[in-house]
Amino acid sequence: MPLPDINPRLVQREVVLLVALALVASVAFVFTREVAKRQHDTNLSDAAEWFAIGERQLDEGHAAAAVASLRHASSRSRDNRHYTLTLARALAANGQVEEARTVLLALREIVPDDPDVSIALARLAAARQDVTEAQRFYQNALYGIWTPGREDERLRLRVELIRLLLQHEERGRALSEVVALSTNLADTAPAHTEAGQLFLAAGDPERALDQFSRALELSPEDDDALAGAGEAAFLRGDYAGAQRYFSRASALSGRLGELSAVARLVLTQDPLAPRLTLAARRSRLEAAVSRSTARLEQCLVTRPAAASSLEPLHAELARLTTSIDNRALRDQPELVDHGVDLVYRAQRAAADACGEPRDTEDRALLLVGERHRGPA
Amino acid sequence: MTRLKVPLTPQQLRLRENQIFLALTIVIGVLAGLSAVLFTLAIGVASRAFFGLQPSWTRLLLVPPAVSLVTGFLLYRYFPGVRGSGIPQTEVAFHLDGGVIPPSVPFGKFLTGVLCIGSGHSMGREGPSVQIGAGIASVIGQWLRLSPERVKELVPVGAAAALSAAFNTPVAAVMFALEEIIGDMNATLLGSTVVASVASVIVERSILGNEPLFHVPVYHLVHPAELVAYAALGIVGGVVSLGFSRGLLWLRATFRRLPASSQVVQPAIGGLAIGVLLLFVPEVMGVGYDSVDQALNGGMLAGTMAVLLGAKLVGTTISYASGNAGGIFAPSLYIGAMVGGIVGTAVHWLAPFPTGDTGAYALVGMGALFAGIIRAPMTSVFMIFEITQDYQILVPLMVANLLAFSIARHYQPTPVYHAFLQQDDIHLPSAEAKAGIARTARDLMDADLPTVSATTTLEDAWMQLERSGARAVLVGTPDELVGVVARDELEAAREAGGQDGAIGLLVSPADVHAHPDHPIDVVLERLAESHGVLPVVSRANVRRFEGAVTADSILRVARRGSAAQ
Repeated sequence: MPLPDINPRLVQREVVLLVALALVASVAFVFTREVAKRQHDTNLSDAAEWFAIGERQLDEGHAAAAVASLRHASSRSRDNRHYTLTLARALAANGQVEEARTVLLALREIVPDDPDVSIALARLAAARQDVTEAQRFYQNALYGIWTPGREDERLRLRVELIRLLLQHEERGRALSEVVALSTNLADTAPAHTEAGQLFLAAGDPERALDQFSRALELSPEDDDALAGAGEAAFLRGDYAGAQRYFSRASALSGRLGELSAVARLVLTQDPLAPRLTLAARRSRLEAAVSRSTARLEQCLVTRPAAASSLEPLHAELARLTTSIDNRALRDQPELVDHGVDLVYRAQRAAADACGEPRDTEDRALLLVGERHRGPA
Repeated sequence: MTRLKVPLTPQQLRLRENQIFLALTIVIGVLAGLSAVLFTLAIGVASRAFFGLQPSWTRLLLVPPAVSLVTGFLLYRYFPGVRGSGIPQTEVAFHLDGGVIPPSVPFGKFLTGVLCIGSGHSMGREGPSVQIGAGIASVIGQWLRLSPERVKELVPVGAAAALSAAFNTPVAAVMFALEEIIGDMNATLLGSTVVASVASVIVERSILGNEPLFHVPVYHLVHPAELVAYAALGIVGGVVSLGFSRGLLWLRATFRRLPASSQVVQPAIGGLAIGVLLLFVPEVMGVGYDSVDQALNGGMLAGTMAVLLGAKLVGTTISYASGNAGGIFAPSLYIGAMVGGIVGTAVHWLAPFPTGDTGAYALVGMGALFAGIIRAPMTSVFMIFEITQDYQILVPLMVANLLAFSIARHYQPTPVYHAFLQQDDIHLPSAEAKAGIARTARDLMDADLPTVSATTTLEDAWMQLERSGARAVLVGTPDELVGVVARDELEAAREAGGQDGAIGLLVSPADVHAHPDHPIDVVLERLAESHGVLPVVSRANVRRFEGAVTADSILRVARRGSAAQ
């Protein structure tokens, strides 16, 4: 059966016109795309120029002008992360911290794993003393995607975080970070020494000593490692060990010098130290009692209000002074223990009433008492 | 095999025409989209050429008036129909000119728009893009010798496609075409505008990439009480919209009162004022989306936003009123972002509850001002949604939009685009007039027209017919319509001596009837087929009589309408 045909002229005209229009559209598309490409290139070149201007202004301290220039740069090349990061830096330098944060957060939406964006955000938060947010962004940065060759930068970033946490007394969190840091350390003396120092600051002298020991294995004469090891040993109550390390160090700073002196006194003033003659033990106890009596008297002068707690101890020390002789010590060996305990209680009471002792002898006597009392 | 040439049936012709129209819609979508992209690019090229990277103060001061002298001449001598936005002219083309736009319009708009916006005038590119897109569509329709109805239909199609590419918001573009150009959200052109809009945005994205117009962080309502703050923003937005529209209309009317011969230099006068403004606030140059983007990201201080707001209000008013070619679409967004940012900062300082970022307020302000100035609230909502792709901000946006729109409409019932046309002595059909066109049988019928029972004598029925003056009598009760008897039939039966017979014997079933929701064109068609009385019956029960449409009832409704106007 013949198919019904449609008017061929009508079909031809419509099809031809539509094809012609489609051709025009195709040519227009190619042309427009070429114009867009050129415009894009111009924009990128303008952006680079604005960026150079902005960076120069920022270096010269003209933060406000730099912000304007860098805005031009980043609006012309929105994909350029570096421009935006520099803009954020300029905003922060210009005191527009919130704006800088907004810019960075918007960038982070686009590149959530970029460590540089998180680092910038973390530093902004740190500048605002917002430790929680800073830690969050530092963590994001640390666990972001780092390009190869930036391992050291990553370690330094963790150290930066640890120092921030320590600065804000967040020792627990800091310790966790130092533990993480110690697992990825380069096996060099400076790296172990730094890790040891961070462990010390975070309150873990055991691990600190391990790090210093490793540093000393690698570099036995490293003064920083020796000082750190001495301090770590001191904090662990190993005064003999501390003395050994301190004595090997060529120079000790003021605080470490004091620690060394205290350690030496702890070792030389302890009436309960092993292998002492009776006379030596008696002599040490008498010196301790005498020193503690003087400390109490001094404290009573400056804080008479504390008399009710200090005077009974003062009287007890006076009684002990009269009862110490070689015979008594021989007949009642526990008298030395009692004496050391009394000395500790007197020093502690004085410290509570008048503040921690400044004198190295008093400090040493406190430590001697603590050493023999065991854990509280 | 011999193939017979058989003429197409009307159904085949209709199908064929629809297929051709669909293909044409796609091609127009592509071309209109390309024109919008090219327009945007050309503005960038022109701006770079005029001002360079870091414009000196002499360039800032002299480029706008110098270029405006050229555009003033072009607009005066060759392209008088392309001043301003282009959206009012597109509406005129659609509603009054049967969709016919001369080829000089899209060409002239492109040229003068690039020169005006590229030379620093504080105007938008979307309005011109709409006029260019609509013009291209209309010219192609005329060139293809499509029927007048089809040419007219292509205008909103081209407009939607161009806006879709200009703004990268295909849904909002469709809404805009329906809401603003056609003025009917139920338009049958929805399918065509969607197709063109999608084709256009695909082209745009394939050239420029899928970059949103603004890079906006995700914002949401931080605290329920913030809705009060957003409502306040809506009120402020409404007031600013009103102020901007009135200022613009006042200055435009002032320019129009100047001698006609001065029209050639009026754009340059505006250009000089813009040049001076740019010396102090270069951020208002051109479209200004960089500043909007910055405000939307909360990266601007309230003081800066206040300065930019004032400068933009002044700049756009001068640029537009002096007769340059460019739109107020982008300036509305700019002004809205600044207003929103300022209100957001104030809320941040004053509110006793947690508040969102100032960027969130800038975003909502942008939508509110758009609704207040352009009077396209649905477009505004969809546009913001498409820009942010986050519906959490929609509730605050709708609250602010509604208030801004209501305030602006209450104090200035005529939308700004229509007001521009009225200044040019052009009156588009009002919303009321369009509503009149859409009247249904329910609006036109007479619900009190009496019926007679089937047992009524012919004489009594005749007497009643004489009293009512109707051309037919309805037989039955309101719940049980039996049928209709025409005056001629009744008269003939009566003259034949049957005065005492029951009318039920004459009655014929009411086959020709209308339902209450039938539109006026169906009603008129069926009234012509009836005896002059068209029963309107329920859809649920065709025997239930609800009223009747007669020539008198239609006239009564028409008189009521004109009295109300």
